[in-house]
Amino acid sequence: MSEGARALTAWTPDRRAFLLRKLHSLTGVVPVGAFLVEHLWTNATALGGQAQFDEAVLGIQRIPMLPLVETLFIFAPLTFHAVYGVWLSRQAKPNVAHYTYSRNWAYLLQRITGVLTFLFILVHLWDYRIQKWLYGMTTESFYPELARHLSDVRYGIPWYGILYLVGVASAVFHFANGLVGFCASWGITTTRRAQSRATVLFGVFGFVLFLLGANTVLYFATGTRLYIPMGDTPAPSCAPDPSTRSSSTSPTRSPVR
Amino acid sequence: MAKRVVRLKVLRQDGPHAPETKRWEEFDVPWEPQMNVISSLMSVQKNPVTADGKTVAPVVWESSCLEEVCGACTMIVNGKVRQSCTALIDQIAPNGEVITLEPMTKFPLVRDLIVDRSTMFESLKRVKAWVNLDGSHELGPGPRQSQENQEEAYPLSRCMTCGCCLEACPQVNATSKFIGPAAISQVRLFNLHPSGKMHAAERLETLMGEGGVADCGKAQNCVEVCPKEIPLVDSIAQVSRQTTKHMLFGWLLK
Repeated sequence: MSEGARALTAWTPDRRAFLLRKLHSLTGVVPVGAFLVEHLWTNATALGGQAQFDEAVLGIQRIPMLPLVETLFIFAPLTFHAVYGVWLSRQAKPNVAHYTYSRNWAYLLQRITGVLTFLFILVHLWDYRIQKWLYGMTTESFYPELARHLSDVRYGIPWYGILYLVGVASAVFHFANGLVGFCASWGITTTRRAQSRATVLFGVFGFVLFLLGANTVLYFATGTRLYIPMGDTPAPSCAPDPSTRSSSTSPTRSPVR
Repeated sequence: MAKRVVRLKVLRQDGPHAPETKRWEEFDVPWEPQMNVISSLMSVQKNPVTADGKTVAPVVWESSCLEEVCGACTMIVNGKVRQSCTALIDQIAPNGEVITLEPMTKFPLVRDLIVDRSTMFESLKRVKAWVNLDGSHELGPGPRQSQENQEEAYPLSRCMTCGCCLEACPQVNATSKFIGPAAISQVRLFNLHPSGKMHAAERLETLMGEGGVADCGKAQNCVEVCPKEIPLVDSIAQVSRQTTKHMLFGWLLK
């Protein structure tokens, strides 16, 4: 560095904004984005019935020092990414009305889905995490609770299922489009052409990830499966009726681990 | 046949500190072959009478080269930022549509269609967008520039600091300190130059400060509106790579 540059440590007010931006970008991919993939993947085990789902949940419960792992690798980075992201989004002045380019729409959608995902995660955390802390909701009750919640129909509208579909779509769009931005801001894709290739790649990835998540939501909401992951699983434990639910946990589950 | 007219709708304001005078005024000017927005504004200047017959102060605007290389006449034509000299009437209003003219919104207003773009010049000074050549003794010939380097640099050197990229950028506004695409692209240009490279770290340090390159929102409007077709998105991504490296190996691992 030339003599003109001042001697600074990395964490000075001048550098804070840049480092926070980079940390925001990084936490969105690792661990928050990685957790999203893992979470949707684990939830998809529900398609094999309650026993498989409970087993997957139990597998997570067996991780040593789980509260510490969750706090360090999920809650802390997620909270930072969400709060700093909302704070940053106030700087945006979208102008899609006059500049109708697709990337400009993606810019606007990135901010909208960011806020939507934040709100959705708050609802989702209340449903399955805060109630677990406060009222001792058991992990075995996740599956019946999900089925009861997501199949809830009011005034002919399965509003909770729709909320979850929108939540999953928001999170997945935000992640996939965020990966395009990540590659640009970390200097991985250094030309516009490379960035459009990344957009196609992560677009396909996001679509597949959405199908994975939507499949699980639809299964809990309606009992139908777009794609059945295990060939020899029994008929779906039809969600809306609680009396059939307990009896339908896959007794003929595949022994394959 | 009635005489063909061009209808201009102009957003006016009498001065920087007179927001209460902000108003739309419409003018009908006689159509002429090959006319552009500048020549239609000249017609308004000759006869400053609004469409409803009121005589008003003539509309003021800036222009110079009239061939899209100086950037002075940049304004918002029909909602989009561009140079008004190359906005040909027959192309933008082929069937006599109303043409709206507004000053750019990301710069301090001077009057009517004139804005003060000096922040762009200040940004260029901030990032040291030059090659240091002065010395008290003979420095000798500079290093040779490769053909490849020249080909990458030339398109970047076409920037005329017109302000289109800043105007179209959703991240550049009153609530943000984002320096904007133009200055970032100049950092790429001067960091490419064999002599300019000697001050690359200083330029990166500036762009790693508040409102630097990390504030880019990847909306890519800049490259869409750039009249000189400068690969601004490539420039931002290139400088992002340089700053990422500088963060890792200049700040964190040094």
